[in-house]
This record gives sequence, C-alpha cells and structure tokens, in this order.
Amino acid sequence: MKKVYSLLFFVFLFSSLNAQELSTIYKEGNGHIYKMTSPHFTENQVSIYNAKVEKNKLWIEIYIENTTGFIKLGMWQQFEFEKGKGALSLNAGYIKTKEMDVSEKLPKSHLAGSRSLKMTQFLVGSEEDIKKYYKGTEEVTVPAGTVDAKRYQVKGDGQTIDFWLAVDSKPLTMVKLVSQGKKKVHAYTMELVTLATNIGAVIDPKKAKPLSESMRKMLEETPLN
Amino acid sequence: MKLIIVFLVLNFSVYSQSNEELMKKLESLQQRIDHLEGKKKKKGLKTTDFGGKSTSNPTMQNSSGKAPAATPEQMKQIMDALKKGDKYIKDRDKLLKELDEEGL
Repeated sequence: MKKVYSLLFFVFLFSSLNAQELSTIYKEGNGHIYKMTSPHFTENQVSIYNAKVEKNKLWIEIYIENTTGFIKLGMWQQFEFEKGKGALSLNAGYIKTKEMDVSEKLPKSHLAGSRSLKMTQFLVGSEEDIKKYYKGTEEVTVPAGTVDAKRYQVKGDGQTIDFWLAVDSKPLTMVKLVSQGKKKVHAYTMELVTLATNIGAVIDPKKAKPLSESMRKMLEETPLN
Repeated sequence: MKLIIVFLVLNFSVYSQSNEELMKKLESLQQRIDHLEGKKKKKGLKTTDFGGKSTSNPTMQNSSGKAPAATPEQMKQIMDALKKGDKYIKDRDKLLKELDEEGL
C-alpha cells in the first residue's frame, strides 16, 4: 500500500480549460473508478471524483483501497485546484485513512511526486497541451466497456506512460493507463471499471488538522519530493 | 438456329451464375453490416450511481459504520509485520527448495 502513495499524486484531471468556467465542465460527485494492477503490489481500486466544484476552483478526491490481500486498507486524498491564466494550479492537499476521525493537511512539499512523472507534465491541462504525445486512435476494451480512444505516450525520468482517452468524452475520460519503468513503483496498469455519479466526498478541508508526526513519518518513508 | 440456342443457354447460365454471386455478395455484405452495427451498439461505458455515498467498500467497516480504531502508527506496525511475514515465506521457500535439491 505504501508503494501506492506516490501514485496517488497522479491526478487524472483532463479538461478543455480555455475560457470555460470549471463549473461548466465538471459536475460535483462525478468521477471514474479504476482497477490498478501491478506485479509488485496488491490489486487496488482507485476512485477519482469531483468532491466540490466552484467557478474557478475544483476539489478532486482520490480514494484507494486494496481489493486483494489479507489486510484491507483504504485512504483518501483531496486536492484543491485553482484556474489561473493557463493550466490549473495545485493549492492544497489533504489525507485521511479509515482509521482517522478527521483529515490532515498535507504540506506543500508532499504535493508533487518525483519518483513518477509530475502530473503537471501532462495530467493537468487541456487536450491541446497533450497533442504532441498523440500516437493514434484505437478501440479499447476495459471492464467498463469498449470505446474508441486516443492513445498518448509520455516519457521522463525512466518512466514511460501510455494512456488512452475516450474519443469525444467531455470532460476527457481516461479509460486505460499503462506505466512502465526501471523502478518497481513505475510498473502498473489502470483500467476503467465504471464511470460514476453522485459520489459523496469524505474529506472536509475545513475540518482538517495539521499533519501529525506519525503521518509525516509514514509519508517520508516514501519520499514524494 | 442451333448456335442461337447454345448462345442463349450460355448467356442465361452466365446471367444466373453472376446473379447468384451477386446475391451471395449481398448476403455477405448484409452480414458484415449487421456485425458492425452490433459492434457499434456494444460500444460505450458503464455508469454507476453512488447515491451520495462513498466508494469505500462497506465490508471494511464494522457494524457501527465506523472503521475500527487504529492509528497511523499501528498501520505502520501492521505493514512492518507484513514485511516480516513476506521474509518468513521467502526464507521458508528457500529452505524447502534447498531440501528438495538435496533430495531430502
């Protein structure tokens, strides 16, 4: 589960930003549920959804829990994005496990991963921004169904990521992602299990406490910076 | 006269043969269209309505709906214990392999 922490910082947030307000693109409670498999850790279910949407702000919540293995663990993370002139900027992050009563605020140093490609490289932005990574359109079958999808490939820091975005989806829907690289943490596949509506957010940023020492230690064991 | 009859018979048989081929081709095209339409209909993605609830697996929670109390520190201990468990299994497998190789 620990190995997965850094992967959580991949926020699958695609949009056609331009001049549009975020509230016209994203709907509160809507999201995607993925199955994440890897030869190096247990199978996980990853839910990524819009916790809250405002005109120029968006709160994305990610929930990850292992679907195999003896002990079941679950963890939420929430990120606050703000629309500026160009791509979205990441303002704040929160973390909560099933065992915690209230969430804790992540320090800025934990908001971006270094062991993986940075999300700002391709995961936050418009389709226009990722055009240069386009490799072709293919029919893709995942647990959620079969669709025509555009395949993109990004490389960096010894990691190669191929991802497929459903054609004509709005906001853009990632149906599949295959990551490969030298490090174990780079080897994983994500497939869309279902699109989701009306998901209830778990983290309330207003009630979040500062990061506790125990959580800080746990995060430091998997350096994210 | 004989020549005309031969010509007509040949002509008719060629016509019926080409007609038959056309019908077969038409049938195969129709099948292809049906196949493609069927395939097209199957395309799409499943959507699930969570009705305002979390995507968290409810079986992971106890009957009160609240997760059992365990601090992040305890979680770390569990992870360490799992690591030790992994090491034990690896050592055991190694020993069994060695014993197997020695023919014991």
